[in-house]
Amino acid sequence: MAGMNEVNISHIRQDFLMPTGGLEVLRDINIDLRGGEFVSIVGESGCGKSTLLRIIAGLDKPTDGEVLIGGEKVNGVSSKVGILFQESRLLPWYSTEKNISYGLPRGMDRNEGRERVRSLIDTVGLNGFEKALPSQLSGGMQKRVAIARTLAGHPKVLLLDEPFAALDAFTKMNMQDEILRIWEREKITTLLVTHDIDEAIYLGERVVMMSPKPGVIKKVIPIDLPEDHSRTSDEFDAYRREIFKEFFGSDKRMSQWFSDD
Amino acid sequence: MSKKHKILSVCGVLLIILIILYWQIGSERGWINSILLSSPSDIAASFRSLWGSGSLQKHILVSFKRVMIGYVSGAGLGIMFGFILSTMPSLEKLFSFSLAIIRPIPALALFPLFILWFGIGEGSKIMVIAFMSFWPTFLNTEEGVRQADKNLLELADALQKGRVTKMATVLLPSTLPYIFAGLRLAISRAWGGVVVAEMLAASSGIGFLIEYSRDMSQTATMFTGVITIAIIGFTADLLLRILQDRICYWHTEVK
Repeated sequence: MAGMNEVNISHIRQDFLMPTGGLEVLRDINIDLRGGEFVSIVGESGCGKSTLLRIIAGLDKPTDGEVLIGGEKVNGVSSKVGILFQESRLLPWYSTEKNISYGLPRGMDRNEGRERVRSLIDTVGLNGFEKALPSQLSGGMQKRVAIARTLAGHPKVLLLDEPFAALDAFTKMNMQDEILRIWEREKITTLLVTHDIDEAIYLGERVVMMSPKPGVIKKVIPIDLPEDHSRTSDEFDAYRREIFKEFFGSDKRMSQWFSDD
Repeated sequence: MSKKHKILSVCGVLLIILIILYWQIGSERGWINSILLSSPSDIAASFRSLWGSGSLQKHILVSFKRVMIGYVSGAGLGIMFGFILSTMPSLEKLFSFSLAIIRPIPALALFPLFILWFGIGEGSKIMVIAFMSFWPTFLNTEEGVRQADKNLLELADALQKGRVTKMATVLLPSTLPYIFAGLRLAISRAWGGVVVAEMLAASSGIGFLIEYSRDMSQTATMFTGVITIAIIGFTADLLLRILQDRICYWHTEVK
């Protein structure tokens, strides 16, 4: 029997209808995630990685193929999946507390809900900011509220859609540790989509490399980092080099590849 | 507010006081023709006598009642229609042409017809005011719904919020600032509308007071009427602004 929080992505194909005809965005995508596994998908913009995430979340329907979560076919949005978007998407008129409780499952007992929100505020370290409006919070704090809101729904699977792309480098590293800490504690099956190679290596147990036109899986690299996840270790560098080579052919003159991005 | 801005606003008030002072002195010295422009002291005297006799309050109350009934129903319908049409694309398609034809008609051009249909009494005046209040609120509500953050609506979908919850938690709050902009536009239009309607066909109200005193060549009373309208219009807008800041609290935090 399939584990409750296992994810099986099989033969996903997605075509977008354009004025010029059909555009193949994803071709035959197959990924299986063990329950509690953390997988990163990395690729340049336009490789269809966000589209894939939206399909898993049930926000878009694939042209072909299917996604199973805990052995059940995804058909529209479900409470089993929590998604963290690139933008924090907080309701401007709600306080931290209310924004987090917005993510609680429907029909949850009021006291139980309040207790859960309180403990989530603890988890993401926002004590003292319960009543603050999003406009009074920094970008990093807003992201913490969004994380807490996603966790409030008790998802079995967590989807991260370039969640830290808009943050500055320091806040970003901070949030990556935060996510790692939460993942290690809650053991939620997590799928991260990013264009940041370091982020993919740092967080993922496996890195799935995608290339565009049409979006296909180029290579899957298992990551085995030392316990401290040091970003400056030789092991980390070796993975970085391997992925760079795979994407760009050589690790020199990156600028020519990024010039039009 | 910076110090410079504070000084400028104080100067703005001083400017008005200076103008009134010059106006008063000019009237006393005979530089200003009092038939065309009554002196501030004459206007104040007229104001006092009209207030003392209770007739000013009576005219204000009559106009106020007409505006309130017309405004509340017109603006209320505007908000309702704005919401319904902008959330139901098929209805919008169905009605957009008729609305586009009716909208450019000046409300006062319809006034004679309204008199014919609803009588020369309260009905026709209230209809004109309702018609005038409808458009700004309707158009603003529609625009507000259209401008609602698609990302937040998608979030509500991802969190499996039902249609009603989505409306109440995302669509309505994001539309509120637009609705208030519409309400403020509508209230000033409604006041303008009532005065003109009362000038054309009425035996009471501020508009009637102004028109009647023109017949009687009582310039000071005409000014009293005009100033009363200004004060009420200003107060109404101020109240709406305070209400807006209260209800759209997150909007003021951003500034």
